[in-house]
Amino acid sequence: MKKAVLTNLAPKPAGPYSQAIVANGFVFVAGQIPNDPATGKIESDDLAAQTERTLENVKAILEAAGSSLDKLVKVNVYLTDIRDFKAMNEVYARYIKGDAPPVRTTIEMGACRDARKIEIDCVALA
Amino acid sequence: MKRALNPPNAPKPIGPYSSVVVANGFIFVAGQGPVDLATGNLIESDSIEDQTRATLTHVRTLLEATGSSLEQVVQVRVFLKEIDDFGGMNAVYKEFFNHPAPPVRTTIEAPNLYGKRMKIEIECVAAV
Repeated sequence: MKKAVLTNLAPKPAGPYSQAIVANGFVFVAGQIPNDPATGKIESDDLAAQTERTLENVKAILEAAGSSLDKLVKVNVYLTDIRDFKAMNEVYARYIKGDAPPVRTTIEMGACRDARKIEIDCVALA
Repeated sequence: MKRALNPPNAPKPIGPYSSVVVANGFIFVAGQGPVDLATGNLIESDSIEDQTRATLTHVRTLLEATGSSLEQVVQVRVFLKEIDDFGGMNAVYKEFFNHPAPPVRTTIEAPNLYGKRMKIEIECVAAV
């Protein structure tokens, strides 16, 4: 059985997909972007600010699903410029703490349709 | 426990990986592309709609080979050679995922897919 999650504290899906799906004890979160859910827009070109906004969106969705950042098991980070790795990492470390942080893969992606520099998808325990 | 499948009515893996692995209540589907089963090469069409349709047809075949279906998919990743194909991909994607509680999705541009004319690759996870 699976259940879809929708919160207005994170951006609306940009296509026929759910923000999160809970299934078999896990929460799958759709690729999140640095859009402010209040305005629907990307409010900053700064990578640190974009990382913060993106992780806030992830956090909101996980909490709407009854999970949390502490329960993350796997994270994929996509950057438009891999040289932003360090700046992303610094913000990431403020959000992802504890003795058993989730596994992570960070790769550079190609162009985006907007000013986003980062996108993050993840899987957490429900 | 895990179980791997390489059904004959879907593209053969082109390396040391399985097309599908079933484990602990989940079905993991390897990255699929718009392969023509008759030739084993990419389909002739360069249209993103045709390539998306061919790719999702293989995804569906693989899921059904395990006894699952598109409706049980929980997570999808779409890799586009050109992000400008987002609209064309989305239009065809909707034909396949038109049920309530559609899977989560991440779409990113991957400028160099394996196969020069390949415009799309899709991987997914389904719940058994």
